[in-house]
Amino acid sequence: MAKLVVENVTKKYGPALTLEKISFTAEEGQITVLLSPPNGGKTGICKIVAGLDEVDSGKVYLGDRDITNLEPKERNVSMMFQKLALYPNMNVFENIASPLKARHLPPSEVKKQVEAIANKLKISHTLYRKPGTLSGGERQRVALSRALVKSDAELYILDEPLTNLDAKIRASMRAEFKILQKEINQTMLYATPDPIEALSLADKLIVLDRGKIVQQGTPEDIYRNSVNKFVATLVGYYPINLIEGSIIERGKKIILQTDAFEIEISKLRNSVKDYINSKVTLGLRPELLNIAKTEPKTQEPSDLFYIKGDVFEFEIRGSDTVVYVKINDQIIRVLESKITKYDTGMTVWLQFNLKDIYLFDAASEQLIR
Amino acid sequence: MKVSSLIKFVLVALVTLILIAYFDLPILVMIITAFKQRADIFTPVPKWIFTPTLKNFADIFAGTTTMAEGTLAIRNSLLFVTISTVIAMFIGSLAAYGFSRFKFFGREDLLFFVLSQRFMPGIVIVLPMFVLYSSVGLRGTPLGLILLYINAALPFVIWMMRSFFDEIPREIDEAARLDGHSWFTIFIKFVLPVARNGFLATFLFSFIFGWGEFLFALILTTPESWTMPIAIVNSRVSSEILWGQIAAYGVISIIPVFIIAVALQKYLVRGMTLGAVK
Repeated sequence: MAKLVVENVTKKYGPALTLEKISFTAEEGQITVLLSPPNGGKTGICKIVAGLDEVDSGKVYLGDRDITNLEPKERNVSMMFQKLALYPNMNVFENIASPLKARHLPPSEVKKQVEAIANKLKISHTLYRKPGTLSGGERQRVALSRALVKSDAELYILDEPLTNLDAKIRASMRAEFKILQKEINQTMLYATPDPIEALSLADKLIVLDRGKIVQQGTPEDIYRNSVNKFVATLVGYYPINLIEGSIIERGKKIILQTDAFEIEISKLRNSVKDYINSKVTLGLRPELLNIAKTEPKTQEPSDLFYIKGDVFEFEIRGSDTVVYVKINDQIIRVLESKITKYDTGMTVWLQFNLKDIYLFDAASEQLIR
Repeated sequence: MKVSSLIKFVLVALVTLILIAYFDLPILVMIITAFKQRADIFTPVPKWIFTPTLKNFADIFAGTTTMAEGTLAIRNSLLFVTISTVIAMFIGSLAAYGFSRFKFFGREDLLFFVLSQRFMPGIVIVLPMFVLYSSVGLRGTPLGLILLYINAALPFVIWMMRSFFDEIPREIDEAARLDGHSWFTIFIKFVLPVARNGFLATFLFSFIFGWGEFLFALILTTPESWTMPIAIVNSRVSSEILWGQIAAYGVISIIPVFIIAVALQKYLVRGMTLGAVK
């Protein structure tokens, strides 16, 4: 295993997508996740690192080697494709054995290694079947086995390995994958459009938007301190609530005024002083909001806000409850990690903490605080 | 069965019969003629009941009445067409793979140029070819005809195979490249097997084309290198045209194509509907 360094890589992929000055490091033994919506440039980066696409400019290093212009087979990397790319004319055994056969390993050794990885990924019973006869989850495992069977690869690239699975299998594969990663402990570059996958698997998270890196860091850091509206919207378990408003000064107080409610944010004076009288977007994460069914007793000035509204609708999702609270025509999603029943139309108080709010400049969409 | 559906059945059956008769009667007549004795062939009213004979076939194999020596034409045809089709399939598939997978300057122009080789009617170039072949000593040689058939089949093979390769996801090649295989191995072991149906259909079409080719064979062969179509035309002696023998030749010439077509039937349909269904 080795460290991957991508330096100022630029590549034009036609009118819709250009990778611009992509720079990041994937640390040894860690899993680095590329997260973006479709057509964000994830697959492009994977292919460039794998050697399947050439760069227009920039450098790629693996360990101490400059691999920018090397052929894929000279790079000693392994890749799993989003479309799986299983060889339809070969059975599962031959599919997994392909990288080993390319190295002319003796047949007994090939057999041993293929069987070992098939065992680990629980597909031993499919070894002599064609990919066309397998279920989606089994195919996924075959593709993963083929990528992992190259046990001396210095880097494993996984391009949306779980995307084509249905939700249930995806969740269980995600958990398995995490265990597997701990077990094999290799450098991995993992692309996904799914924020939950990204947050739960990443040691390091890189968020891309239309070919540019917008933010990189630990998942916690990116979740807490999303640099702009795009990242805040993308990185989260449930879609963030976005409320248009403006910051005004009233006497000595600084007020955030929206169509739905007003809150005093004087404590944030230092962060927002340049934005007084300008339009902003307030971001509230559903999982950081609470609901009180009775009116809170004291309304002393504090960091806690209580906003009165009424229940518009609620959904119980297994062990969670999503409540839609209506405040002056603005509907705000709240996620409660427990089952709570409400009556539609009942009055409730939305509760949140000053430290949990996001403020974005409405024009540039960048984070103000 | 209701009356209306009975009528429908009868109508469909009738139309089918007419179509079969339209396409297959000439072949039937040819087959019957091949087994007739000379006297039965020339009756004013076609004779459907007669004493069959194998004399026409025996004459061909004995080489008694034709200018060419017995089975030579059959052997020539099989040899020339098989060799040229195999070589054209090999070269053409490789070229098609290149056209499908690699972007290079002038790719589309080159493809158009390849196709343009088929724009001209053969009759236009047959005389220049005659002069050319005569001057370089290729006329009447097996090599000459094989080269010509390769050249004639190539544009077709390249275009057909390219469209089949285009349908195969690039990720298959890419995965094989990452596994560490060479381009040639990827082509032979990973891509070609997936394009098998298209490959066989293209092979069959090319084979049939070469098997029935007449014009160039007529101009560029000598009796030693006659192919079947030419031998058929030349089945005559000074006094008459040997219809029985021509029919027997016809029957023989159908056999290989028939066998291949039946064997490859399912791939053939795939080849013909290419592009029809996405």
